[in-house]
Amino acid sequence: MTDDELRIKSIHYRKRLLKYIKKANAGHTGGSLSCVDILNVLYNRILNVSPGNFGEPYRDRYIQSKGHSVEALYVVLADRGFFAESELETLCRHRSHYVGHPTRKVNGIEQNTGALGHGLAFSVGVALSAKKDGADYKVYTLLGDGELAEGSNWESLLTATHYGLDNLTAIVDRNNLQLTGRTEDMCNLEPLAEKFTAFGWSVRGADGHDVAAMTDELRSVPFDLGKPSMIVAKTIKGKGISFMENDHKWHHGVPDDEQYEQAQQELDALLAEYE
Amino acid sequence: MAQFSIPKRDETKEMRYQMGYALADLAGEYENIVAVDADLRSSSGLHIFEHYHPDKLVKVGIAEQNMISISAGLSQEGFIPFPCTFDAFCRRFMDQLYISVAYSKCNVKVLGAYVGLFTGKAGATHQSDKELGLLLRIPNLRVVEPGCNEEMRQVLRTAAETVGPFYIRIVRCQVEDNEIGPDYRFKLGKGVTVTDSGSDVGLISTGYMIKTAKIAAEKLKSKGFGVRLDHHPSLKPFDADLLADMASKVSVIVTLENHCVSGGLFSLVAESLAREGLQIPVGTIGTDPEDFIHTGHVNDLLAHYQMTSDDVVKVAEQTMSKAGI
Repeated sequence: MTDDELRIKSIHYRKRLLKYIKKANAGHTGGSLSCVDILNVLYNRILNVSPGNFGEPYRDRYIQSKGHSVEALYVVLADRGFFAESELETLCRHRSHYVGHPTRKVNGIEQNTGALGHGLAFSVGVALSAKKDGADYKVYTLLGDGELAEGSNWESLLTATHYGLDNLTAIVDRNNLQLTGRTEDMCNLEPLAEKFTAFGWSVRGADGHDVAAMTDELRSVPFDLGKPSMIVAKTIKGKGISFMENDHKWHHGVPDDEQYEQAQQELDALLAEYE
Repeated sequence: MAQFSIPKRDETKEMRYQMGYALADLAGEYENIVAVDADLRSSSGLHIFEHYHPDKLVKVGIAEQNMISISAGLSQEGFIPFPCTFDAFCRRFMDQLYISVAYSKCNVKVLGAYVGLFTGKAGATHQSDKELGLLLRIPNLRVVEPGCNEEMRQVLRTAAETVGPFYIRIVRCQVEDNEIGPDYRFKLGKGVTVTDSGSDVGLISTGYMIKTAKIAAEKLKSKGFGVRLDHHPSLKPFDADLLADMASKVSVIVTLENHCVSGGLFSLVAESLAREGLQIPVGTIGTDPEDFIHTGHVNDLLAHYQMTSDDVVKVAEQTMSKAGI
């Protein structure tokens, strides 16, 4: 798949996740839009995981610690054939498995997440298992930047280094916003990369919306043998929709009819650039 | 040379040390068992496990949240992790237990060590007498509190051989090897009638308190009362049928728990009786839900919280008296 084909996919993913959030009248719009390009690269270029091998010991594992951005994950999994996209018509409905945070009742999801600060520790357990078993699969996890205020993450950062888990890659969706405002106004994270480095991780930065750059970084892991890898992916919350970008109000905002139409038109205009 | 002294298996009666031996034995049988330690192994008894299986001990540092979620990850890949720290510190990892383990049905067997009053002189930070209030209300989680070493060994085996999350409350102190009988077999979800000499008083114990209940039963019998003693190691699932049977046969019930008298055994009994419409007076033995546990020798604490066998006799008599018996 070419970079342009991936870019077109990203636009379609955005259209779909907005469609289902609009239909459900619920969802984490801003964060899904900020991480969807990362998921696109992971699932279409990096991860050795598919509906055919899901459950096989050799598959790569992806654990989404920032579980609230599940709508991005759902549309990517549907596109990869883990379930029929029509299932997403039931998003957030009573008795639907497609709830507002990931659960293992949905094919393709490795672990229930949603309470923040759990996914990295779980991923450490999985990566440690691979080391103990001598297995060569890789483990990837996606963290929110606001999530990093949860202290449990820093426990896990220590443990991953202690055990030299170079089969583990964490990606921070660094969009600088959380529910009530700027991350740096809530709990200052910077200098973030230096913190991860000081904890013993091998750290790189990338534009989280640049599929080529993210591909290069993800294909380079482990950055250092014997160390876990961290990618601080610079992103824009609400990416792709002009009036949603960099506005924390869209953390779990749902567009009204007019806003929804405008959003889809903006994405259609982007698609037209590739025709 | 071992880093920590290893008490001899045939000499120590402390449940924590016998747990270390029992888990080491099980790990010899099940190669996928691992223990996970948050730097308390020389206290919890896991150092004995480490002595026999150094490669099967995962150390995570003093990081209880990490310990539980890492265990969930290990279980996902086929290991059977037994994370172990002081029961009091489950207050630190309750969310990890709830989400990463129970909600996800991970095959993790948490060992809560040093439960209740028998923690020595550490004070309220390290004593755990309120935690069942949440633990007993976590879906998918089985909660078991063995009362003697033989029962503890059987509980560990059941946990290893039963898929799904467990929480096992382990007491620090010395206990008898077998309080129930040579033919006793622990069954998840089942209680056991230990003695039955009549229909005046029904004693219901869990965990360590079986010992106190047995002594109290003898004292009540010597006073001329008929006593039945049921022991309920399995708190979740709870043997409501055995309780209903007891309630239909005795005049009053007294519950005995190494925990406060709200949220734990008494609450299970009271809820179950109310649900079934069984009207019977129930007295309680346990700590005070409105109190942080004091420091002091365990005998001082047992006297303070009125948890001795003499207190059981007193509560039984008061409960009968109130009921006009």
